[in-house]
Amino acid sequence: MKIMVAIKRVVDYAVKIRVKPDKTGVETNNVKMSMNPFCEIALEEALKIREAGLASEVIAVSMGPPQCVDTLRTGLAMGADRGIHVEATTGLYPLNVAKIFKRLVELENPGLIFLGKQAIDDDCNQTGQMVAGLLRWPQATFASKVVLDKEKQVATVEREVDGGLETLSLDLPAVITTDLRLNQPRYATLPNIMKAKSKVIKKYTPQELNVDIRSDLEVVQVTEPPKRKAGVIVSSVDELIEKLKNEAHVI
Amino acid sequence: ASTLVLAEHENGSIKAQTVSAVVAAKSLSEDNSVSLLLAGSGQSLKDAAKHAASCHPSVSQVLVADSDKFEYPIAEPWAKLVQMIQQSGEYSHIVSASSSFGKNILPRAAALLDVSPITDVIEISSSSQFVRPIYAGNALCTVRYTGANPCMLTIRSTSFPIPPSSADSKCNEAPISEVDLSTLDEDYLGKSRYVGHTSQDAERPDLGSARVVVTGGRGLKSAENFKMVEKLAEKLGAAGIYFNNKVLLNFHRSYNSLLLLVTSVCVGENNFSKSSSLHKLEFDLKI
Repeated sequence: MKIMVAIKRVVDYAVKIRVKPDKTGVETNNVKMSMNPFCEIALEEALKIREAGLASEVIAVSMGPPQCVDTLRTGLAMGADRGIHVEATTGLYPLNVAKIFKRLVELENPGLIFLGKQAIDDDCNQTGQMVAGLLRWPQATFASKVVLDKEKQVATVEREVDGGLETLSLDLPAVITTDLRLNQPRYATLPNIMKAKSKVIKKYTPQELNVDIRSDLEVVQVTEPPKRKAGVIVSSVDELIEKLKNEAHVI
Repeated sequence: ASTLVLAEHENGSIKAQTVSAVVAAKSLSEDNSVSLLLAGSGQSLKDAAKHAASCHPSVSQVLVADSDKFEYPIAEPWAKLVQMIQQSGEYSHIVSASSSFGKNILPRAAALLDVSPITDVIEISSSSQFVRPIYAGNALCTVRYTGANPCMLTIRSTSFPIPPSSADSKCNEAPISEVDLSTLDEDYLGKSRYVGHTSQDAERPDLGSARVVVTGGRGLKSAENFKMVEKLAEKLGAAGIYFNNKVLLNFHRSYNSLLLLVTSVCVGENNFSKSSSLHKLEFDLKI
């Protein structure tokens, strides 16, 4: 069984982002870019499953500008067997990504797809659900535990839902999106980084895959959130509660 | 304009977050008619439908999908249901709260309907223009929807508070009608099955619906000191506690800060890191 993993190149999670003065977006020039942390977790889970002998191959997929190849190399250095890069210079919305992904699934026939639950740039939290919907495959979002039964072709997934955990059982093939507590992603070792350089990354364009990239969304502006006011130090809990009640009127 | 709101219910009543989604739907346009869609089975669904009919004066219709398939809120049949209802109802908007229910179902339904959803809306500027946080709340993005109907949204319930007057108003009862599910049968719907559910920390409200959230950071320095946060939460009544670590803080800042800014109390690092206030607090709490 093959496993496909979607990985997105985003502004590194430790970078303090700056909104562009002309309000067209967030500054990404000369900013450190990395693999989306939730995608790292998705890739780690796929690698674990392959290492447990339950999958034969892990394919990392990234979409976007040419630099996505760097992110794919990181994925290959972590242990993915090969990469697919769908090069697109225009912005892709989750629906576009899901449609491209569906085409790649038809070409590769994976038994399982892992995606991060969301990207830390646009925070959409949509792509996994949309891929599953387009493929008519079962889905388990926000996974915190995945157990695979190879014989029965079933994945049992624990999901983080509001106020608890839900367990679902999915027939394969299926789509799983990963939450923070699922695992701790590995670091790429130097020998593996060297090995990754010779691994194959196949290139496509959306046109070659016959996917029409149209958009039904338009970014009007990107602004900074309102500034938070400075705090005050209170001397007791009662004073705090009193201030909250009578000054801030929040409780 | 007409809006379909995907409703969540529990123990025979509609969740507050769903009522917030109705409030958001109402603000899409003046003459908006709002239909609530409920799915489930048995008596608790019937009770929830009754509650739905009078949960907010803007609700003009309640649609009920009664089937074993909807005993649990599974994404596959739910998304299919939304697609089916949209094909006959032709709503201009479909709205759900940005809960784990809405986040799981609405994008899947949007894919079936071939439209881009807009998630985590915190402000509705017009019927096609919305504000949502990006980069974990470090920037706000205004987006315009230019596609075909329906425009699909999930909304942050804390940004659309329920006005006190609308709660439990008995002034109107919207008609309740059953959804014809005879065309819903598709073989792929049985491919995901509900196994079980465990709730965490049931004595405190969950983060999505907590009125007050108390949260502590690294400034508290030790697990011992963190107990003060728990005590404070107890003293404040129905308060949720949110344990931060650096990673969580980064990823959930938007979620968190929204709650903090609008409805909650931040017992932040600065308040506690001063040792004098720390000791004073300890004293007051009789730890």
